[in-house]
Amino acid sequence: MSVSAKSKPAALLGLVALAVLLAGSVVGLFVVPADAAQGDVQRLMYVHVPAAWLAFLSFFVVFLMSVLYLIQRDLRWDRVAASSAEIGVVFTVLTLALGSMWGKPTWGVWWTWDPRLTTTAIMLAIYVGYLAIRSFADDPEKRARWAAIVGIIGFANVPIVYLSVIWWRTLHQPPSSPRSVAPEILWTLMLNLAAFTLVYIYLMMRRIRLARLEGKLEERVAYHG
Amino acid sequence: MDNLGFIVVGYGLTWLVLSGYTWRVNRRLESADRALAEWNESDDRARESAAAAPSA
Repeated sequence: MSVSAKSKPAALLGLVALAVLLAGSVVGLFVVPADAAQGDVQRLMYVHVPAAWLAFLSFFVVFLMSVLYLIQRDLRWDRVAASSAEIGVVFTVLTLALGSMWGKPTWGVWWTWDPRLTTTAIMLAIYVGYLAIRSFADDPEKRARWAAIVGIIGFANVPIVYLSVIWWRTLHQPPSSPRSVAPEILWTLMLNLAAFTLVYIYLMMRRIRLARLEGKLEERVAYHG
Repeated sequence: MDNLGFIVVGYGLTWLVLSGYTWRVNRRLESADRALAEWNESDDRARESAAAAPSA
């Protein structure tokens, strides 16, 4: 089967994701009114929260694909897991950076060892480790097996990140519910969440294709030397 | 807009990180695709020359 770098559905999805992301940024920056308590800096929530949700989603996909790989021993699941882990790391870095930028004007510090921030930093370290482990093993089966184990055990930290603001006293605000948020804020958040989800799907399509091509190249090198 | 610097840097960073990562994945994809195509072409050429060579 031919695997080409060019894909019309992916390119189309990329354009749609770009348009929705642009709309989300415009609405978040200029259309929705400033928060009554925090002022304009709360606009960072429209990118910070979707980045965090997409990091959670990415790592849930890693967990799911790791379980599937260990059951079926099919390298396709491993490729999906690896792709999602890499994208999840990007979203986690973004979450931490945006949180820091929101934290400085509201809390007065760029970083504090608050339970939510600390567990998020641990989550980043786990998945950077997941990607590092993948680079240590040459054998695809061994690599996939090691990665799957880390992908399953490492996911235990993800609910801890989410629940950290409920379990411990923290500077970070607890999760909001749709009833506690003004409708215009909620819709802007949903628009940006949709945009980030489209970006994730687009990146997954491209990244999985890349993983498939790299697998073929690896097979070729292993066969011909 | 109060705290404009934080907001501009935050949104700017979001766009920079997402577009930068997308660009990187697409470049890696094109490079892998090219490497595979070159290998396939060289395989085809080798097969053609083997077929054209007189049998002993």
